[in-house]
Amino acid sequence: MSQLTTTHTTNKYLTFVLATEEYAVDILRVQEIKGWSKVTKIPNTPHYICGVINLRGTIVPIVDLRSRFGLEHLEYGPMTVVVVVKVLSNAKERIMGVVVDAVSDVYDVSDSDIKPPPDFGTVISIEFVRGLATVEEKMVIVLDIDRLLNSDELAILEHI
Amino acid sequence: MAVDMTEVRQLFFEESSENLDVMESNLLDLEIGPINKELVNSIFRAAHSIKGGAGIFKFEQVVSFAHVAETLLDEMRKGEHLVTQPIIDLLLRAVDILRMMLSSLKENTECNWLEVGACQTRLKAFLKTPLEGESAYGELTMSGKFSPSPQSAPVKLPGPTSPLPAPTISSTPVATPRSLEVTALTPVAPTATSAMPVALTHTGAPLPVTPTEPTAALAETPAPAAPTNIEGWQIIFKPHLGMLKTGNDPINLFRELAGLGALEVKANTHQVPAFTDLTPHSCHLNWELMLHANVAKSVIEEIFEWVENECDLQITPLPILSAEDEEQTATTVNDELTLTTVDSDDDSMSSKRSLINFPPNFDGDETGVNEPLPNSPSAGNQLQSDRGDTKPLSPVSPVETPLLSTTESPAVTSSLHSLDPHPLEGPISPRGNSNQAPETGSSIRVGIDKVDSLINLVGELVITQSMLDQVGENFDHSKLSLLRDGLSQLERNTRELQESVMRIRMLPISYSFNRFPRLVHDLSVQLGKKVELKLSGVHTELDKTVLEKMSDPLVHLVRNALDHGIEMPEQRRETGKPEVGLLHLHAFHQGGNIIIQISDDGAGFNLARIRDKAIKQRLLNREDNPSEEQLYEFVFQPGFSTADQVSDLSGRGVGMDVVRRNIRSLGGTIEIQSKPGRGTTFNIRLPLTLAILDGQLVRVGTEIYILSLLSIMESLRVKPQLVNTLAGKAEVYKLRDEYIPILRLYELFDLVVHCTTQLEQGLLVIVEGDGQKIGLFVDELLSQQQIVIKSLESNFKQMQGISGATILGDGSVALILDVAGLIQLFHHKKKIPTLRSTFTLGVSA
Repeated sequence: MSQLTTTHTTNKYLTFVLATEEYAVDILRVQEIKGWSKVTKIPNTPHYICGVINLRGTIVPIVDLRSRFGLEHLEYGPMTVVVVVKVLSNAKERIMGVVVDAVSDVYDVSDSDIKPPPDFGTVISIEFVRGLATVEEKMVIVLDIDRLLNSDELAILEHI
Repeated sequence: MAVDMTEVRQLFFEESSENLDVMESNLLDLEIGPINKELVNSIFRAAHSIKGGAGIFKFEQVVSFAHVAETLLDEMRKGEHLVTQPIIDLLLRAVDILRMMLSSLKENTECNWLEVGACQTRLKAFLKTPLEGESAYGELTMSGKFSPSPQSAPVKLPGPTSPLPAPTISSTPVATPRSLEVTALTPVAPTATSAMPVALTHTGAPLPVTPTEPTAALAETPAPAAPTNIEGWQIIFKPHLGMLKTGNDPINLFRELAGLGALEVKANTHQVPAFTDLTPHSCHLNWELMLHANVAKSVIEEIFEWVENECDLQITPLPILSAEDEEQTATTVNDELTLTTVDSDDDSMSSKRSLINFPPNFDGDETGVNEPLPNSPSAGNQLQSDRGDTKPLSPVSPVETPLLSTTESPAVTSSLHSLDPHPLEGPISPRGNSNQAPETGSSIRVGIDKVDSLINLVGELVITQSMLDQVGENFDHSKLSLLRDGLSQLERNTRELQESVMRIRMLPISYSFNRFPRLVHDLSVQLGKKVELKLSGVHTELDKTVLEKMSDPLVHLVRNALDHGIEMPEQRRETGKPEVGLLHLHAFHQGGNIIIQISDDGAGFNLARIRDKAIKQRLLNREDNPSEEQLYEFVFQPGFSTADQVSDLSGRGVGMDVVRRNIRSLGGTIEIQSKPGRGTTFNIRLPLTLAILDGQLVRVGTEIYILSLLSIMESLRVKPQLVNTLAGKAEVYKLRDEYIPILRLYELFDLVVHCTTQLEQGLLVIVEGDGQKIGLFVDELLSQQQIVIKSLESNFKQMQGISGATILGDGSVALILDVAGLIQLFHHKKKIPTLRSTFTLGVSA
């Protein structure tokens, strides 16, 4: 279903790989992609917050998506990728980094192609999944990064 | 030689206003009774500098006024007057008048000459000895001879037609300089003139200000006819070695002299060293000059005025020759450094200096850092705050890149106050360094240490650049790692440079606080109240813009506190309070913020009255029951005032809303705490995204944390026998006669890797926060350095116990610990009820 309907707006999405799954974020939200650098741990934070880094003078928190989604931890190495994204929370823009296995591709996805995710009950939290899209015969999970990385919510989601 | 004087004028106004501040604060420090020589002297000097400066620019009224004030001060320091309140008040008034005159000259506006005259007359009334020569020269003044010539004094000065009360000016000593000239030129003079001291400035005697002649001289017109005939002058000019460093070039002096008449110049080269030993920055030559011109001596002196401290100078009338001086005092190195030296010619020098400046034991060089302090009160003080306690333990590892620079050369030990007269030569010198003169009214005075650290950083940058250059030549793959190192070094240099530049904008809050003693003095006199002003935390650094924007709100709050807060003495006595009210201004860092507290021990807010007023103004319904905070909120409403009557100070209800708006525009907040009858405290909280902190780096495991030096009391090695446990869980350490809880940072922060867990192997840092002491257990202390605070909240969230983060020299992030937050966190985690963490030992101590 790679042909796109013209009646709907099409956006570009950056996809990245976590374990075997492919996730997509709105490319306009991506500030940059950088390699892994040493982080400074912040005490008493949830395990999926790796710490903070210095990004040209600003302090940017780094979230490990693998631990965020409860996947098995992977050693960080030179191949580890950090996607720096802009997150809106309370009308304020924050810069955050997410650690992913690898960056995959950039796709055009029409809004109408994003289907709401099925309900899994409480087994997995899907509130930060905006929907599922099929691109080149693959399923891509479109993330709502505002929800995912809204730091106000981090503390609440911790208990799930 | 036409000189663009506008820049120098600007400098004069800035310096004068500083001198006025000095006068003001010293006057306020004067105590009634016998003379405090030291203070009076410094007031005198300040007045004298203003007079001298004003003379150069032909601000005659200022000169004459300052002269009267100066004469009074001179009599005071000679012990002819006792310090009395009227004298202090009068002198303070004189300071105001001078300020008014200067600002009207600066802005080209008319000033209130009536007031000037009145004050001058009052000053004169105090003088024991009437000013000499008044009557004789009054006529001259009246005839208008002393109106300024338009070329040299672009400011419009009121001429004789100005509404100046005639009797006042006629009796001013403006004219006395002329009398000086006359005496200097009469044949009797040589005895006096050949004994001319190195310094050209007279003290006490009227300054040789020549109102008309130098103007002409500067404008390269032929020398005007002098009152007496004289063949010319012999000038023996021996610059000190360091004169060139002040930006003064003798050639400019000679050119000016040549403008006066025929000039013969003989250079004496016998002190020039061999070529190999020659330093181009030192002046080895000295000169013998013959000026065949019929000019007044003071004209020549004025030309040399800017270098008077950097040379030995003899001016004798021809043909009388003065004896050659003894060997030049070559060792007298000029102790002044101006920004002018930082020019392109000095690149090599500054990079050399930066090499010298980075010995591995840099951190231990405490004396080097502290040395300049006595000389640079404005700059140095804030740098060394309270580092005393931790000093013995600090040099564990060298500071990677010092933000504070050491002081290698004596030139550095001066403050920027020495910027004084030299910049005059800057703009005219061929090397042309005119960048220091501010273009607009706003300028900033920077401590020499900050400038020096910039120079060091630029030096380092140059080294890195040349290193990269080398790598770039014949580049192959083997050099890849070198290139990478170089690039990361370059990145670090750049960042540090950026931070240093930012640091230039930081000023201690004393710049704003220092005006309050005067304000409080005046207001308390006006209101008939007795108030003691206490200032603390004056070295807290704030961004200049923040400081400027805060200054009006602060003035308003101080006025309010005096007008509404502190009661009249009788009323205070009735309520059992001391007659003298206390107003306390306090500034400090807390949790990544700057807090400014304005507290008084006055009447406090009358909540009932606020409520009534709010109901009257229909802001509140009669049946509403607002909380205290809500009631305070009304205070910030426009047009809201609880004052019964409107005074010229406050009570109009305009103000508090403006205060809050100003503070909010800076991203800050203001809170009121008030107890009826006990006083009011305003807490202003300002964010400090730009603020700088003196930090102590500590290591816990592999992590590095930063503690504010201000919070550290001391650090010590743990003696196991002094460690006790409380209720089997909490550890306390007996320090002298106190028991201090031990907080193991690695435990609190759940750090597992490579942490020292044995108390005797680590260090205990005793810190204080929120009035509680606690011992932080860390692995070791690293260096101390100035830390630029970065907000953690902007992209993340506020964390308890952490006030912010900073970026270390290697680009990594280190967290700044907030002691008060740590203590709370500690109590929370240990599940210990927040008991008083320190208690004194009764008997055993």
